[in-house]
Amino acid sequence: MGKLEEIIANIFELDPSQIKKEMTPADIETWDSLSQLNLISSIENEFQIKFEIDEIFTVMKIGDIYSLLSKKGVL
Amino acid sequence: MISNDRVYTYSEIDKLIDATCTKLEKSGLLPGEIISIILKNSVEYVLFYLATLRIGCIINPYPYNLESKDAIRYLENVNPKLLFCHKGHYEYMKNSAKSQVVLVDDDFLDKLDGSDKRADFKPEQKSPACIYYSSGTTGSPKSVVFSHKNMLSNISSICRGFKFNEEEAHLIILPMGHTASVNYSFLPCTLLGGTLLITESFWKIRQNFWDLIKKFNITYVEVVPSILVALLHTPYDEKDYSGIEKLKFIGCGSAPLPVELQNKVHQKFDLKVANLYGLSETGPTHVDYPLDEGWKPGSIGKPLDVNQVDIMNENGNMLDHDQVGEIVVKGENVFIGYHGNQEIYDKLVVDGRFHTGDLGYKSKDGIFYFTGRKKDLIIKGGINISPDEIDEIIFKLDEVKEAITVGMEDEYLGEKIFTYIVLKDGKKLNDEKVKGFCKKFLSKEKIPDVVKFVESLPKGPSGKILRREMKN
Repeated sequence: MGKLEEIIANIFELDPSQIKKEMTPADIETWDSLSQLNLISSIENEFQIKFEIDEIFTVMKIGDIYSLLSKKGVL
Repeated sequence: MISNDRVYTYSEIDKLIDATCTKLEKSGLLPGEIISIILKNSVEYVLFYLATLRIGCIINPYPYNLESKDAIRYLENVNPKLLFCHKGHYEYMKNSAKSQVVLVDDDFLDKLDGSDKRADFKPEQKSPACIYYSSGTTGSPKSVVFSHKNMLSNISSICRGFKFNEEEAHLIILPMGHTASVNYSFLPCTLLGGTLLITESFWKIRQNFWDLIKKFNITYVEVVPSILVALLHTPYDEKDYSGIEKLKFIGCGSAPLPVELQNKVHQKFDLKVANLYGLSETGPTHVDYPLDEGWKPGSIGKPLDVNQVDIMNENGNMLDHDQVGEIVVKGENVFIGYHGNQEIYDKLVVDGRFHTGDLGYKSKDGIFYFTGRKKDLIIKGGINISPDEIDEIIFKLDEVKEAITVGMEDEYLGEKIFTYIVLKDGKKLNDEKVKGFCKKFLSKEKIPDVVKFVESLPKGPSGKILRREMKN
């Protein structure tokens, strides 16, 4: 399991094996505005990057987190 | 009413309420007893709320996103006869609550038995109808009691003030355990015969928000400021929010609304935002109706027609227009008590006037402006948080000599929690350990976002730490 999956699993209280890129807040009970911010904050700390506010709101599904990190050159 | 893709007529809801009444009465409930609910936004929420009133009991709702360990403190204060909850809270409550706890499971509606039509219970106007939780400023539980007269006067006044009518179609995206969507949408629409579209939360429908507005001809939706920020920054296509003419305006409450945010939403979506002001103890007190000529963005509007609102100085004298003082509210909608705490009620309600602890002023033309709070309170994403509650936990750490928690301005959440700590000589601590310690005692929204270690904290002549200095 990679560090990103560990963070996602920890924030959303999921088993890492449950995480799928197409999952949206509608699929994950614990995915609310606060947990999304906590997720962003944890990723920023772990990967030593900073997201702009517009970037935070592009995350609509799990896969968007990977895309965002890819754009930042982290993944 | 529409929920989970299912449409319910008023007649269907009425029958389901009767069936819920039967279920409640089988539990041996008597008029005047308290029923607590911790339910998701759902038809079940509506049924329990209205069935409780129909049998003459008192409804005591909690937001579903409130953590169980927080809710239990309020439940101990209220001591309900029964607690109904969805499964997210059930296990914890079953093991911790003193009351009888009943699980409302996914097939609750299917299991409801039919029932004969019954008449509504006819309560005394002054008897309690609802008890709402209030996070307050001290961190200790406050449970606000409203009478039937309070509720009816408030709801009917809101309908008049905001010109709601039977054509209303309201979208609910805020937790129904808070008063906001109950006072502005659930009860007004029910009173007028309008339509309610109930969703679990904004975050669950963010992607389809504008589609829902258009599909269901939504006329009104209530939000908190952080949702407006999310709407502005979510990468919607322009065509997503074209054709939303039925949506008359958006209401925004629960936290101070910056006028710049109000203007940005207006500019981007051609949609006016009403700045909703009210308190746990009064419900809404003002009407900021943005379709009126002469509407003043940045204000909180004029008092509801059931309210007399004044500005008072610290000596209890009324202030003239344009002078900042405490906002005090009198009227039929002002609550009748804090459950089990007459002392605080007597302190805050003097000569029938509720002292809000909020500061503001009134312009010459009778329009009110909120300018700040007398009391220390952090409002993070619309959730009220007492900094004292956080400090109390931080002080349990052996390494801490002094600590103070404040809300600092944040573009999205309105405020974020900053905790400043002075360590005892020779002691070491890091922010991870502080946050981890807080997690054991506090719900997640109360965990400090930022922990900073400082050499000293500003103090007044008496040695009291000056919290407001830290905000600057």
